Amino acid sequence: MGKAVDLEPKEYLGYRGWCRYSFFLDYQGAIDDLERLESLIGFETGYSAEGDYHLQVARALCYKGLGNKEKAISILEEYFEKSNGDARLYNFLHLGVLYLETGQIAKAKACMEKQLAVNAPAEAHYYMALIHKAENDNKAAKAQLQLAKTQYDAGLRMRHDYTHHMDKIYLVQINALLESDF
Amino acid sequence: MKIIFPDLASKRCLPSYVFFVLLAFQLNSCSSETSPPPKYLRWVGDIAFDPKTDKKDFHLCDADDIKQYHNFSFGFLYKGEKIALEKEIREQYNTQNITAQSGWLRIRFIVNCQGETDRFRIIGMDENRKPQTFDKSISDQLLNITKRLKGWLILPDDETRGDYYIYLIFKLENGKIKEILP
Repeated sequence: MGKAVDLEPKEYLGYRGWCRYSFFLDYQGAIDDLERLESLIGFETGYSAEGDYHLQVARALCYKGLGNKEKAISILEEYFEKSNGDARLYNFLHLGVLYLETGQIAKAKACMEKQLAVNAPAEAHYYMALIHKAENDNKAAKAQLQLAKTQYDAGLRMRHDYTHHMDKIYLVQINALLESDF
Repeated sequence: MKIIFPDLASKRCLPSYVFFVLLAFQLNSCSSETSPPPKYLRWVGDIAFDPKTDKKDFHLCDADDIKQYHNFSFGFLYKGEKIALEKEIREQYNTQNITAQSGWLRIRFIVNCQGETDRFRIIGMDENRKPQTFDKSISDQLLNITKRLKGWLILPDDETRGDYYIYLIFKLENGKIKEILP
């Protein structure tokens, strides 16, 4: 793949960058590839190999992987603005989780509501429960956790045939929160 | 639950980037892939029996049709999901007296139709994607931990129960586990 990138960088940098993120969690390597691609063709860098993510979203997730959540938020906000709010797969969930993790609860809630409106995996309900918890609304939080468990048991969860999505939640985590005293 | 298999007689049914990843490892292969290959393997990445390292009594339901873990659209099949597997590995991995190497170490193996494992093969690369042999303080330890994992699930449908290839990739930083994939 390195040879292919050397010969046709515009064609293969996105592919390699995506693989470096998805299959190796090589965040910095993926960022290097995706930003080099952007320098060659501009912001519209295309989509991941299986079409789940725009590569700008993947780039944002890589910054999150490196711990730079502010940069990740900034990229996603720019992407949503330029893409007219692309609701593909888990886009709103990822931004909502970033807002939640940085204490921007109102923005997190708005994002998660959008995610639930278009695609409601167990994780979206789980994070909505955390948002309600942050608002001290434990009754609503518990209701969302129950929905998360229902969705999870029904197989409606963040699923990837090859690897695992960032921000994925496991059943044991839902159960642990349900059983906790909050 | 009905499992639909893709047409496994043809590699074209699988996304090409998966083979790119397999090939990347295969082409960077180091001497730890010890099995003497037959003239032609069925597929790139097939693991032939090696009497020097593999169990003679490791039973395969269909040695001519070992599938890939991602053929089933179930994702990663482990009791308690990936979160349980990571916990098992991290609890056992001892970071005292290890060499401070960084990069990726992959252990690929077969889960048979009874949930047992064997034919483990190790391969590694450094942070610049060049082949790298990890010190035994890392590779032997991770291999032994991987061999002890007992939670691999058989497919939840008797009609399609079979053997499959799976791998673990350990992203290492100064000998410590940063990430476990897929």
